[in-house]
Amino acid sequence: MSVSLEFREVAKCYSASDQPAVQDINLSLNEGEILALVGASGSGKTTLLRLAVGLETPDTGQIILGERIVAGPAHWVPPERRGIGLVFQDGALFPHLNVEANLTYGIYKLSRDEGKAITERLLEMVGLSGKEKRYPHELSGGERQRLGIVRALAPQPRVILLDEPFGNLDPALRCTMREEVRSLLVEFKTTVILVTHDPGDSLAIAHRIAVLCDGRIDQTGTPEEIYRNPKSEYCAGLFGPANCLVDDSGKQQWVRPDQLFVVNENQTDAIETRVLSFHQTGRHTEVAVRPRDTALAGDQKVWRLYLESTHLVEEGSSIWVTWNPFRKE
Amino acid sequence: MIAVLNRYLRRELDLWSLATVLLGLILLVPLFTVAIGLGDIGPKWDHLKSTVLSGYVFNTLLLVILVTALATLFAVPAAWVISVFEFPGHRVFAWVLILPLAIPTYVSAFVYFQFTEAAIPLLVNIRNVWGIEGFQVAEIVLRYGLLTVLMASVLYPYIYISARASFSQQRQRLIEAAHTLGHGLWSVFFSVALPLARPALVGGGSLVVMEVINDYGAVHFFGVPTLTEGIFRTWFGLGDLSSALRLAGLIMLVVFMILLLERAQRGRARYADPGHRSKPRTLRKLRGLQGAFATGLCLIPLTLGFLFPTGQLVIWAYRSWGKVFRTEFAMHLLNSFILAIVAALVLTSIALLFSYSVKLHPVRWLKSITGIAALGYAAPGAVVAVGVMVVIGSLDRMTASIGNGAFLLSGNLLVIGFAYCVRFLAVSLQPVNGGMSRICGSLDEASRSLGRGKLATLWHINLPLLRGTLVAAFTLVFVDILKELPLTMILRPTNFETMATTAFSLAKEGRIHECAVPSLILLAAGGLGLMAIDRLILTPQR
Repeated sequence: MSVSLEFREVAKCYSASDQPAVQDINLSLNEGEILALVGASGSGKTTLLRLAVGLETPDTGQIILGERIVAGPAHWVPPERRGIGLVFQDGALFPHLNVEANLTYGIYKLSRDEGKAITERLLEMVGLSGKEKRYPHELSGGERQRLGIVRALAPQPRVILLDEPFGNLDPALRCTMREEVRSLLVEFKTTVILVTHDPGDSLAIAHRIAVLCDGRIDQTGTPEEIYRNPKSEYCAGLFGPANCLVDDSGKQQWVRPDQLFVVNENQTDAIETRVLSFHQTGRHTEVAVRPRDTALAGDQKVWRLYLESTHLVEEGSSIWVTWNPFRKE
Repeated sequence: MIAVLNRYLRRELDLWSLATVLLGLILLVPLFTVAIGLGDIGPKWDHLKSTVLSGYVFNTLLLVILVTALATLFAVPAAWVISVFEFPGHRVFAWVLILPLAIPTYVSAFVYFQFTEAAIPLLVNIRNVWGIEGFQVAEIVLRYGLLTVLMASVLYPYIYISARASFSQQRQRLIEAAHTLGHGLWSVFFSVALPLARPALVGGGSLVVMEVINDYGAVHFFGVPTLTEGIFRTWFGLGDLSSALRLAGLIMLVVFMILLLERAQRGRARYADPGHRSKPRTLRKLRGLQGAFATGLCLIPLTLGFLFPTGQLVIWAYRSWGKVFRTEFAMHLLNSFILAIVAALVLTSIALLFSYSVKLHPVRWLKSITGIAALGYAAPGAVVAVGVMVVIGSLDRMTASIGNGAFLLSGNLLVIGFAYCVRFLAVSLQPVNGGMSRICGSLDEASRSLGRGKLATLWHINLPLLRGTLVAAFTLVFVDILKELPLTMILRPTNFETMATTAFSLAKEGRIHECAVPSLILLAAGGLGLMAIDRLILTPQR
């Protein structure tokens, strides 16, 4: 499979700040791949998108689209000639143009008939047929977002970038939209970068996830890898509660609540701990325990464990815990 | 290093930013020339210094103080009663009190000048009683007094607008707090409302000061030579352009000092509380005598500044319109309109270029250049005219020495157009910048990512969304150019008349009734300008 978009040693620092927005970015996307960029706000996700589309210039490094260098020390291709589609959080629909005119804005070079055929097909795909003459403010939030996505898809870009596309939608609509957008993107076979701070989006849509922290890529991997085997506390924390446990060799590991088991005392490799306190947080029980074996406790005298709520614990009692990081649900 | 520079040049320097820088610098040349002219001592400077200069400075200062004080007296009580009370005519007054802005000071001067003639019997009596000295004092008091009243009555809306905005934005709770602490209405006004409104009042007041300094027509008519009148006298009377240039430099220095002081006085204290939305103020109802008093407070400035001059002009125009409407007048009207329309189109286009260029390259140096290029609006028209004249004169001498000896530029309409651009760029740039900043940047980015270049994005996205703003900006510039007198007087080609110069020359020749028709045309245009402002400020943006 050929590489569609590649970042090589890319760094960018905004003049107003001395902290680089992104640095040491090495990332490549295969054709047709959907990559989710995940990270806290200010981690550099949007900067990376803007660099790819050409709305910002990298300070160092290269960005390569297919075979062509589009940004680099001696290269610069402006956004309108990159052929990279961009979908904005707010849709960025042109308020003075109706649905049809918004959709055909990027395919102005096609003949009228060709444009009409594409418009009809795309609008039908996203359930907007019959609303061609409406203006953006006459559409619902979901419709606006769908229009924003098909508008970017209409010129058939090599790569499409989605910047928090579900950020403005309510949770129920968000779930339906995820499904719709994923099937749309797969049908178009476009390479996709999806920027989101919602782990649900990335787990539902992406083939691969890249976690950004303070402008650097912390970890890349399939959703399964990132969820089950996070490399850092930051990566682990992004996808819900995780238990930081230290194994015999002193190495830290992050274990999800569903991988942590309370077992009978006679089981080998179970660790005996005493429950100091606990409280219920929705699906999980947060328990503060102290290992009997003080060598295991390390610097942290108290472990904070997240267990699935099905486990019953009592204050002052002993529990034996064990984990299996590779257990699959 | 070279690569970085190369990339920087490629991103920051394109046709848009280059055109902006080039145009910005060209527009700055006349003001720069005036600034340099400060150090230039002309042949008549010593003569000027020992004779009339102190008089110019004294007159300017006196007029500035008197007019600003009276305008404040007109504006602040009216703004306060409108913001706090409900009384007969309250709603109408709130809007019509800004109408005097539509009348150029020199037009109001034509109307008020008749009082100097009407007062002759009184002056004769004074002479009989107190002798010639008494007569002279009374005559000076009359002239300065009338000039002060007429200028204050057309300029007070600058203070009124800012005072009213400030009073009505003040939080009801602050006023209520002052009341519960035992302060009555008057006490609240002086201890809370007025101090909170101070920055707004000073802001409006500095505009009045600048307008007084800028004025040529009214002071000329009433024979009160100020610094601006001094430029005309030095240049056309004494024929000393370098001394006129030095005077212009002096005025510009004063004006920029006022601007700096105005900025400095805002200081660090907070006068507004934008975080909290104030609940609408409940207006106290005034009836009977109190209501009549409030109505009177609003009616006095409105009558002096608008109703009386307009009424008088309408009567004169009715008597004289048959004499005025001849082919010649129609030509002047056409001249005036074509010049103003073309210049306003050019200025709106320049504003669009500057504004879009800064949007494309939001870097500080480019913003500064466009900001500084718009400074010409602060400089009086006569100052800009002198600067432009000096620049054009030297250009002409250069081309004449190379070519066949003919002056290409002097007395050319292009020169006057250029001068309008120097002086009025701010008028078009401010609304266009405001409109541009309301267009979300992601629309431009969406357009670019959909394959449209910078020009296509401007054409298909920004231009349609800016349509209303552009029309308003065009109208404002059009009106300002139509009314502009001193700059046009200095730079117009021989025998070229605009509405403003026609009105002024007719009045100067004593054909005071006939000047009413062009004056009313200017007044109507001024009304159009007020509507444009109203649209810019009040129309909700999509």
